[in-house]
Amino acid sequence: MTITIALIVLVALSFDFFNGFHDAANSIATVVSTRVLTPRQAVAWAAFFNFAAFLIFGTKVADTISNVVHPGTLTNAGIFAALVGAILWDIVTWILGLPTSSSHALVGGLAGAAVATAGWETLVASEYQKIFVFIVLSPIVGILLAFTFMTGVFWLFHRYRKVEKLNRGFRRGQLVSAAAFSLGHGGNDAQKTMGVILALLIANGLLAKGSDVPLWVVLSAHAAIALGTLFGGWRIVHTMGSKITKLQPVGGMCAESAAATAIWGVTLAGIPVSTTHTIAGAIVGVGTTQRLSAVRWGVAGRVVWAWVLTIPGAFIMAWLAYLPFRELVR
Amino acid sequence: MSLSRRSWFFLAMTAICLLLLAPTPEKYRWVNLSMAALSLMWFLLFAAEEILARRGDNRPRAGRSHR
Repeated sequence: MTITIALIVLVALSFDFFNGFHDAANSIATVVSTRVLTPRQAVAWAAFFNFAAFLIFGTKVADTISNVVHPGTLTNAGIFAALVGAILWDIVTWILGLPTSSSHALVGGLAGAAVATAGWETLVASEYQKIFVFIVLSPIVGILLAFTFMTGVFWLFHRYRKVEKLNRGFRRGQLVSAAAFSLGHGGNDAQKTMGVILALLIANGLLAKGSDVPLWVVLSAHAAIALGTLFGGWRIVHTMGSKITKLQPVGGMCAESAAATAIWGVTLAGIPVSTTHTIAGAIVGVGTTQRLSAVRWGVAGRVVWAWVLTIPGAFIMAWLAYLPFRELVR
Repeated sequence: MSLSRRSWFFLAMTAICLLLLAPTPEKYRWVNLSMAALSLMWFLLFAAEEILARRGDNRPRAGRSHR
């Protein structure tokens, strides 16, 4: 492996680290805001399950990511620029405290770098179509499942008078739902980095087209996202955990269970979705069970705008990043 | 018919899921259909609850005049 390839793998793993760092809030915001775990305990809990995800999910999402651009089109400079564009976008939105999607930043970055390298025809329309559809669908699935779970829990327990005992049960339940969500997060998001590294190894002839993801790539991607989660992103915890709607343990459990169900389903189907979109939708769904005005739509709207801007923003950054790297990285 | 914003919210969700059917790859259309069915169910339940509650409010109350 040449130094250039090793360097790009390192940048890809850094992106994965930032993904965990940026999205840590999604995994732990509800458990922290409902005071089931302290922030320190919550990040350790989430990081462990982020890493353990490699035992459950395959690499279908990685295959999808490695195919969003026609194989062989992206050069080392292109892959490098895509990662730089996505990382820059993540940093900007982190500074602004916006829970945007690192996954869509990566997809936008790959598109920007591919177009800069060899034009629009390099993009695989069917893969992008799938990703775009699920950009909209994933928060809707989150909203509807969370609303249904929450209503189901109300129906089951509305005659139960021992509120303290019930809350204790939901707090324990939230530990399980947070673990399930973190497994889904690790499974879906770590695979996106694996997809980039896979594309890089194929582009350089180190692997044949259609090869499986090597074990060292799987383990290092999961380790990087787990480490990122361990370092956490506190600014976004606040937006996710309390600004969209106020959560009780029961609400946190339902939101995480709904988001985990959705993410597990799409990960097993090989669709890269935004874990951020899904959990934000689920939190909105829980808020909707009280009344629509319980959801702070202004904050939710700001989040939606950040989502809308993510792919074009990362696209432009990667496109611009490609210009100087074209000569430097070969 | 005046329904609450929550009812319309679920109807809008149904509409979005169905509008997305065309661009969704055939393999994944079950997601749109099941979500559309779920949100339609919530719309119908909320709408029925509101309409029945309104009918109950409009009915003359017989209780006090007999006492």
